[in-house]
Amino acid sequence: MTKIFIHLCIAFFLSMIELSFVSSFHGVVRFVPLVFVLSVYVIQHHSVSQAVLWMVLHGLMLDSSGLSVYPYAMAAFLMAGSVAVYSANHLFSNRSFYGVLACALLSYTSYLFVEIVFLLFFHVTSRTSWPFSVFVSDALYSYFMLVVALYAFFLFAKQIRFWLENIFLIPKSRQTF
Amino acid sequence: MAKRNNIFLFKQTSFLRAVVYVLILFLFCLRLYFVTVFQWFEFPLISVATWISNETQKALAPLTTSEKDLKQVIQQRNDLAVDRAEFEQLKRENESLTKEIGLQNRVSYKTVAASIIRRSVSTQTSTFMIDVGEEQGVVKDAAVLVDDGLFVGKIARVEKKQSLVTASTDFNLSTAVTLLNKTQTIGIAKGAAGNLVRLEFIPIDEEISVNQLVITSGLDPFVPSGFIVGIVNSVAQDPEAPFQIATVEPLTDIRRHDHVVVVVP
Repeated sequence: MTKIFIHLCIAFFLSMIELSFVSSFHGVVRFVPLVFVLSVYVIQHHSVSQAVLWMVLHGLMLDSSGLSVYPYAMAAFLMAGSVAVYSANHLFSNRSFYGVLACALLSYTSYLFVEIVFLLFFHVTSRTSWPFSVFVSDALYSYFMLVVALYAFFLFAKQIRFWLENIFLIPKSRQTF
Repeated sequence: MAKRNNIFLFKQTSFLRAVVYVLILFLFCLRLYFVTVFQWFEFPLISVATWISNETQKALAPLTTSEKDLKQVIQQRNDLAVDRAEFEQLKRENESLTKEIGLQNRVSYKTVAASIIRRSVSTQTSTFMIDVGEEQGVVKDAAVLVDDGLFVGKIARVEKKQSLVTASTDFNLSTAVTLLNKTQTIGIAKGAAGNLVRLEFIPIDEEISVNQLVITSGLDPFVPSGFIVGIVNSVAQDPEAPFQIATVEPLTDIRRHDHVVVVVP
C-alpha cells in the first residue's frame, strides 16, 4: 500500500517535471523523455518492475490533458513498459551501461512503433495531418536525448540507489550492480 | 494450518486491493482540487524553465547572429520607425475624425489573463494548457494572444479550471486571416514545419510580397479581426495548381512566454 502510494507520488511528480519544466526549454533539451528514461533505468538497473506505473501514469496524464500527438499515449507507454520489463528480466544484463541502454532503446522503439500505428490510423480515418519528416526528426532528437539522459543517470547510479532505498522502493540489502 | 494461512493472506490482499480501488475512486472524484494543487507547482516550473531558456538564448545570440543579419535588422528597424511615425499621425487624425462624426468604438471584447501550466514536447503538435477555464468565461475556439495583440492560437478544449490551447503553428489548426496587401487577400492559415504558418490557395493574380503583415480576418467565431498572425517570409507558386503559397513567420514564439491573454465573448 505504501509502495503504491510512493509510486503514484513519483509518477505524478516526474510527469509534472517533464510537462512543465523540461518541455519549456528551447532546442533539443526539451526532447528528454524524462519519465521514460527514469522508469526504464529503474526497471532495468535496479530491478524495480513496478516503475512501469510511472510511464503508464505519465501516458494517462498526457491523454487526460490532450497534450500528446495522438489520443491513446497510455497504450504506447504500456507497450514500452511491458517490453522494458521483459527485456530486463530475460534479455539484457542489468549491470552494464550497454545493457540498460539496449533495454531503453528497444522499449523506446516499441513505443515509437505503437505511435506510428496510431498516427497512421488517425491519419487515414480522420484525415488529420501527419508530417512524417517532423516525426522522424522528433524521434531522432528523442533517441539522442534518451542516450544522453541515461548516461547522466548512470553517472549518479549510487545516489539514485541510495535515494530508492530511502523511500523504501528497494531493500537495503539488494545489490544490483 | 498452511491452508488457513493462505486463506488469511488471500483475504488480506483482497482487502488491500479494495482499499486501493476505493482510494483511486476517491482521487478521481477529487480531481478538480488536484488540478488546482498541481497548478500551484506547475506555473513556477514553467516560469523558471522559460526564464532559463530565454536568458540562454540572449547570451548566445551574439554568437549566432551574422553581420549581414544584423545590418538587415537595423534596416528593418529604421523602416519601421518611419512607418510608426506615419501610423501615429494617422491614428491622431482618425481619433479626431471619429470624435467629430460621433462613431462609437466598435471593438468590444473582454480578455482574461492566464498562465501556461503545461506544454507539449513534440514538434508534431503545438499545444499547451492554461490555468483558466469555464469558470472564467473561456469558450472553445476563443482567440489566445500575447503582448496585447499577437495571435498565438485558439482554445481547443475547455474544462472547469483549465483549458487546452492549440497554437497557430500546429498542423491541425486553421485560422481565417487577411493579408495586408492592396486587395486585402483573405485566406486560411495552417501550421507548418519549423514553427511557421502556411497560406495556401491564394489566387495567382493576387500581389503578395515578403514582409507583408498577416492578421486575423474576424471570420472565425470568437476570433476578432486585427490580431497579428505574422509576416510573410516567402512566396512561392504552387507547381501543380494556379495558386500561390505564402509562408508566414509568427512574430513571437509561444515557448518564450509563460503568460497569455484569452479573448472571451
